[in-house]
Amino acid sequence: LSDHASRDDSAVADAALIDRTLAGEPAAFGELVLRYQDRLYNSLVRVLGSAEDARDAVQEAFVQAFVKLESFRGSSAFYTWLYRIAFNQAMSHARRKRPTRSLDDERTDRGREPVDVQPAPDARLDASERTTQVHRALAELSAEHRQVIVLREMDGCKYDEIAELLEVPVGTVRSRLFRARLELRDRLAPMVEKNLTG
Amino acid sequence: MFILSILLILSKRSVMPDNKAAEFDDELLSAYLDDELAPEERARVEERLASDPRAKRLLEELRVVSQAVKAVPSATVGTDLRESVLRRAERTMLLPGERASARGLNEMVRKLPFGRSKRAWFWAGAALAAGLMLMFFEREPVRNEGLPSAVALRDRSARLETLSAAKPAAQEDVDKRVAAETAAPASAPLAAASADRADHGSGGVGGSVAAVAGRAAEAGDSDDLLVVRVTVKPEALRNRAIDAVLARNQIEIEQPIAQADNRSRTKNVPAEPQDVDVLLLAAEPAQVMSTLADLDADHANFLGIEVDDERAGRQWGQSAERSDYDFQQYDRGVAPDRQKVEVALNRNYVIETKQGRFEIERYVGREIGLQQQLARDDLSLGSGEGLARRIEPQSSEQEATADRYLAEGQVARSSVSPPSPPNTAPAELALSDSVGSAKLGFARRASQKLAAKANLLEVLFVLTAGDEPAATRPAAAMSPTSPPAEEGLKNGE
Repeated sequence: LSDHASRDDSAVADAALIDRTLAGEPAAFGELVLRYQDRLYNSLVRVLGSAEDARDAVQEAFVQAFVKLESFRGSSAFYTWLYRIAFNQAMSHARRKRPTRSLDDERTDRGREPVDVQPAPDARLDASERTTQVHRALAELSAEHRQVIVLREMDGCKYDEIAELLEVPVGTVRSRLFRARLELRDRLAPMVEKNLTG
Repeated sequence: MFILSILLILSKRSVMPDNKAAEFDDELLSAYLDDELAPEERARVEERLASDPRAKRLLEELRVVSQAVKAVPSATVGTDLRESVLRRAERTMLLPGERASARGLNEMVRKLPFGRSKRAWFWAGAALAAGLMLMFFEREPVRNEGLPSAVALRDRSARLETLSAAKPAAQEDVDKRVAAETAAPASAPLAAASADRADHGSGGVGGSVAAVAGRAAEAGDSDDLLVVRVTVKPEALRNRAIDAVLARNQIEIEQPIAQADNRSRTKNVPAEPQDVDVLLLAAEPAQVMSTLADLDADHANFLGIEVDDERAGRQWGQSAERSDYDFQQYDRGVAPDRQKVEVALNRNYVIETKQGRFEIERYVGREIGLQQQLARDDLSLGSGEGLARRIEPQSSEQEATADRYLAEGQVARSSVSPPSPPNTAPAELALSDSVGSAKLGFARRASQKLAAKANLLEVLFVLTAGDEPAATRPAAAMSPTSPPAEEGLKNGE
């Protein structure tokens, strides 16, 4: 709930920044970039499976958003709108370009991820091993399944938000998410088993 | 087979407590986990969980899966994208490229927040300027009457606002670079580089380790215009110091013929010192390089040069030249490791063209380096083909014209002023209709072909007045171990 309240607050702040941008203050748009660049990147890097593509897609999405800012009606949240721009264009880009690379590439990209140094070496190894497995399993999902998982689990979106982002009914989100989780469960069977017994 | 399936169904039923439960949809468990159920569905799930160990187990499995995914550390971009986004946005709006012409330039112009902001005026003007100028370059010969001497580069504060919008980020970038440099093994050239920066590094552009521009050799690349921003001392800007530099490099500067006309029309406008100078230039790459080198060398007048490097970065992201790629990353504020920094320091401006790759190795000695480079590539400086056209700031009278344009929704005529004689086509562009925009798109492609054929490089120079270096230079005072710099390095790797 608090999550939702803060998102409402941020919607108000977003609107103010958008107004200021349209009134001729590009720096205000810079604030929007700062606000959402990591959130968008985090989603895209999981969905696209490549850090480089994700970074490009994030930049390009912001550029397009800036160029089209006048057409933003405010009926949806700015982030929703931004995400759609990013995703649509990333998809069309991916179709034109090479097949997406494995998430393993991202895995080697440690420097970008906050690394937790607190736990004991064993636990840390275990955690990173698990992260690797999850990455691999995610990469094996269909794009549709991966996307819904990323939005729900990593981005923390509610079903209705996901529905809006993907422009599908809430019922579809629910069933898609369920099927995606079942698939992940099968792919991560040993880990799941270990967690349930241990 | 039939019997078998009946048996299966029967056996399944025997596990299920009753018929109602048999209809239970496991999907509800997933939604239950997410707390996305209506109260009655929720009650059903809880009832089910109490009586069905299989459902309970599935819920637990789904929970483990969900937690495992949630536990993946979130990735961050690693750099502040503000500057590059605003740059690219500005560029996108500056250049009526392939996409824009497909949609129609008119539409693009309409999409600018026209009339609502000062910034919009700058962009609208610049976009038209770029579009129109390309028309002129396409048309041979580019002499004389009726050329629109004035395109809306109107408001001083708007321009400054626009151009300095990303300044804080840029400054940060510089800080990172300075820090990275200091961290690199201290050979003499490196130290010189730092000192050089400290000497005149306002805005971090003049002494930037490297400003790079790539130019795709492929024809038809719509983004193929180099944008060079130069920070100039106010008096040098007023005196048009750049003209001498261009002349020295055999780049002819066309005087806008309509200027006299212009003056007479704008008698009410107080002669305000200009603080922006925009030139569109088509010249041989060697001439461009040499011009950049000259501007770079002239610390007294030109405080900083910045070559738009977005395209270069994208291009090199896929190129085989590893060191360039790393260098590029470094330039964007993502520091690679030290050896690569050193490589980067040996480079300066790099432009890739059909003629080959041009670079000036600054610390080898600017002049000598350039000459050697040219000799190596069997090229000579300046064949006199270079041509620059100044895009004049618009007077207030012309603003009024533009306002009228807004009311009438016609692009070309009002933006191009004074009215051209009938025999000069540019003003007839009629950008306001779709035929016109198609024409422009065509012209743009044609101009690219021409440029490619003649090996001319199109460059848009945007000169703005800058402060005295001493006045605004927090970067020089930065200690190498200051927090933002440290952060820059860490983020990099």
